[in-house]
Amino acid sequence: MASTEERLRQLADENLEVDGQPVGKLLDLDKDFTDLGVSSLDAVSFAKVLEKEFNVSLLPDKAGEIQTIGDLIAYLEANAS
Amino acid sequence: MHVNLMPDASSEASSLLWLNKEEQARCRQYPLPGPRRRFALCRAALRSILCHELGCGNERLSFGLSDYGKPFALVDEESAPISFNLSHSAKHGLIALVPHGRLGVDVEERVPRRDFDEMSEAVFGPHEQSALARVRGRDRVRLFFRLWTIKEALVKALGLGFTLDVSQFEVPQALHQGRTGMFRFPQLPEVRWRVEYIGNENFSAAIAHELLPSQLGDRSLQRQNGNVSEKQGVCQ
Repeated sequence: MASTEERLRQLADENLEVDGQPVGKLLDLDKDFTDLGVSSLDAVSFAKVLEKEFNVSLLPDKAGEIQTIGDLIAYLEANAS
Repeated sequence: MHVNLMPDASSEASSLLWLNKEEQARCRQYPLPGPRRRFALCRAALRSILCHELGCGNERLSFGLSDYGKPFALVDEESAPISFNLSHSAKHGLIALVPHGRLGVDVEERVPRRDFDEMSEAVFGPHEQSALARVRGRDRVRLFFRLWTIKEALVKALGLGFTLDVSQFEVPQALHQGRTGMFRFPQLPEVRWRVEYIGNENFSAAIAHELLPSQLGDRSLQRQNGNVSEKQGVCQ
């Protein structure tokens, strides 16, 4: 079974692009999506994808707490159902 | 101020000379060339305009970050008397600045999205969704990005990031078509914001600026901007 990180990278490849390029392989666990150049509109859109995929609440409740992609993975692992 | 973000090796090389060591390091950490270019060109333009407005040398200028990641200017490590905000999208960067009051700006190139319907449900309120449902095709794309840029400019001006649920406030009807309007967040009714839509054929863009008490008493603002309507624009 794919790890949360692998699922996140795959979902990012399927749903997020920067200048036409998928970003799943570029995710750095110590950074956030804006460090890749992802727009806020795309980030909000991707948050909605993750909420459905992992059955969790991300926006706006956790927006202030999740600072990095590593934080996001930890949150998804702890709260996905 | 508009910043041209088209690829140009000469401009990019020049822009790097404006950045301090931390900014140059940040620039190198972007894995893709587009975001790297946009950051460098916008930060260099921001430094140039702030140095001009504040009358300081580039080496005296630095930036701090609020708890929610909103940057502010420092001169000789002291908070500078200026408010600014910056946004970029594809080939376009925008910088806005004012002497006082919180400020937010957003620019978006109008790229049609496959998730318009889902996004509309997620980020817009019922009146905004109804307005979007009444239009089709190009007009729908334009209204979507108009409403989004106004919302994001307001969110950036407030400075709390996306801890604020953007579907819980709506862009006043007057701003669905007009260029200027007044706004209050339902959660913060004591503060008024002047909103200006500055989009054109190439992009959607908006500026939101906090009106301070001294400005609220200045009727000249409304005279100078004939289509500013407080009554129509207020979101209650």
